Amino acid sequence: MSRLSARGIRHAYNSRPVLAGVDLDLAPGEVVGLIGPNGAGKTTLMRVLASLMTPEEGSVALDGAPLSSLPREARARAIAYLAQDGAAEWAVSVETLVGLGRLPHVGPFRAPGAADRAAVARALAACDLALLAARPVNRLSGGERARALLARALAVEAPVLLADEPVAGLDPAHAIDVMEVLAARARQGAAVLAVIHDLTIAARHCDRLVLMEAGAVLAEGAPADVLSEANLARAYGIRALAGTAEGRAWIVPLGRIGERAR
Amino acid sequence: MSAARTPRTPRRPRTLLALLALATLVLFALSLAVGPSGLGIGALVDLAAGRGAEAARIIVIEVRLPRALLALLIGAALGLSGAVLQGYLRNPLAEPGLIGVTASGALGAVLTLYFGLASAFALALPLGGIAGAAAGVVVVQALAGRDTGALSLILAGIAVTSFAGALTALALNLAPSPFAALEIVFWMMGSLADRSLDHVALAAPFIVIGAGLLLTTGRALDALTLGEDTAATLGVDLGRLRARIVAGTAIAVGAATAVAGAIGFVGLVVPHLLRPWTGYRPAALLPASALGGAALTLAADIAVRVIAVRGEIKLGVVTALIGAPFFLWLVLAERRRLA
Repeated sequence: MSRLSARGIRHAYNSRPVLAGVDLDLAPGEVVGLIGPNGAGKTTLMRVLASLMTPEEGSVALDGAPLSSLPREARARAIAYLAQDGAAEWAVSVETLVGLGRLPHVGPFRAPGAADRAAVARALAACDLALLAARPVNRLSGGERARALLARALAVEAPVLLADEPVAGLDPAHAIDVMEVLAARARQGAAVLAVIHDLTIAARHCDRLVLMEAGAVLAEGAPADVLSEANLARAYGIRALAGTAEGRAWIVPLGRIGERAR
Repeated sequence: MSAARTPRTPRRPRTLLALLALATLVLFALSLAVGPSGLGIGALVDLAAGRGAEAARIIVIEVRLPRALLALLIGAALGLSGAVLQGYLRNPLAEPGLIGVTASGALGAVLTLYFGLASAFALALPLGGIAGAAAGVVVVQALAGRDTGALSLILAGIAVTSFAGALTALALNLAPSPFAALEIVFWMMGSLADRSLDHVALAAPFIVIGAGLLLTTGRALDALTLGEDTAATLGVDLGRLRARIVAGTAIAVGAATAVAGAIGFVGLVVPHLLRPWTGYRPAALLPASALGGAALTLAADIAVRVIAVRGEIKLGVVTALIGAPFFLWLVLAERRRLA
């Protein structure tokens, strides 16, 4: 059970600030949705949390220990990362692909052991891929491929899971499947952070939302509070219709502010 | 680029490796039994039993053995580094020459011919080749810079290859005599004829060290199936991986080029043909490609001795004649797939 915390993250690309002092905490057992308009700095923040880049200022700590002080392998076992638009470069089988998630656990020049095979089987089952285990990844549909890549990230069995747009390009049923897998992972004790653009998916499937705007956190907390009229207006410049169904919020963007309703 | 092709069903890596090892062994023995002197398998058996004639012993040990050993080592180096580079760049069209090692190694060797050092002492040529490959790799690393990505490496490789090619052309252009020019052209075609055990002793340590470095990259190449970012989050140090690949290829292929000249297409063709039989897993492809490269080079080197047309066709010419149409087919297949 690990807690990931980022403090005072600042970064600029060619002197254009992208992250302007971001603090973020991620606790075991919760699915946190990272939302915000394009260019708000969500992906850059994810890359910082995944140690894919070093910010100019600020630090990320895992259970109080700075990530930069951890050995590469320990970091890889602690934080799983699901890339945006992830792809498999070779036509390996689904099982082989998912097995790549065990690399941080398998020593050099060693074969995966029983524990690794069990973890792969659990990940395949969690993503409903058991029947597709032998299928080459280039013969999967878009939804199946997204599940296979998610299963790869689950197979790490890391206490922290970072997913960059895990439901982009998926139909509603597949998007709900993916979000439920993330929720199940959180119930098992993982801390899950997912970048999500669909506000209703974010509102319904996340325990907590973090809304970013212009490189800073504009609001965070319960979905219904974060997705307030004022916050939506400020972050996205939109008006929206909101309500609740089955105990969870929904939200439909109606139009840009300043445009007349037609 | 996703090399999307259907895997064949038999994916027993051990069976594949055993078959390739057997093929290599048979071709190695055959390589010792083929040559213009007409000593065949029978003479080999006699020699092994210790009752061969002295002349036969000299021909087999001093003429054919170096050739067979070099074909084995160089073929393995080319196949292995081709598999590593294709895995690293995630591109089935990558080959060892891509990072500029072959061209700069050839330039180093050509310069020893140009300045007449090669005729002064026999090992000047391979030593020049190794020095050239080493210089090329230093330049490639400097050009590619601290950026860990694959693209900067490709661009640096292209730059070094074209510059080394230009200097080689200049050396040809200014060759002191037509004989020197002819010697340079012949050498550049790539051949294993008339190499001695000294050549083997010079190249073997480099090839073994380089191949050892390349064989350590399997895990990281597997991780790269998921792209550079995801591989990094799985614990792969991309900067060190690239350094190991560049150094391993430079040492192994540089030494190979230094003693044999440019032998193209082995590193391109072999990994590509074997990939479906390894379940498309880059790590499993490495030992298979080393064996496959050795087998193919031994076979091609036997072929140049068997197909006798007014002397011997150069090995590099044969691999190019087979490899170039294959490359064309590969490009067309790739285009169909992307269309």
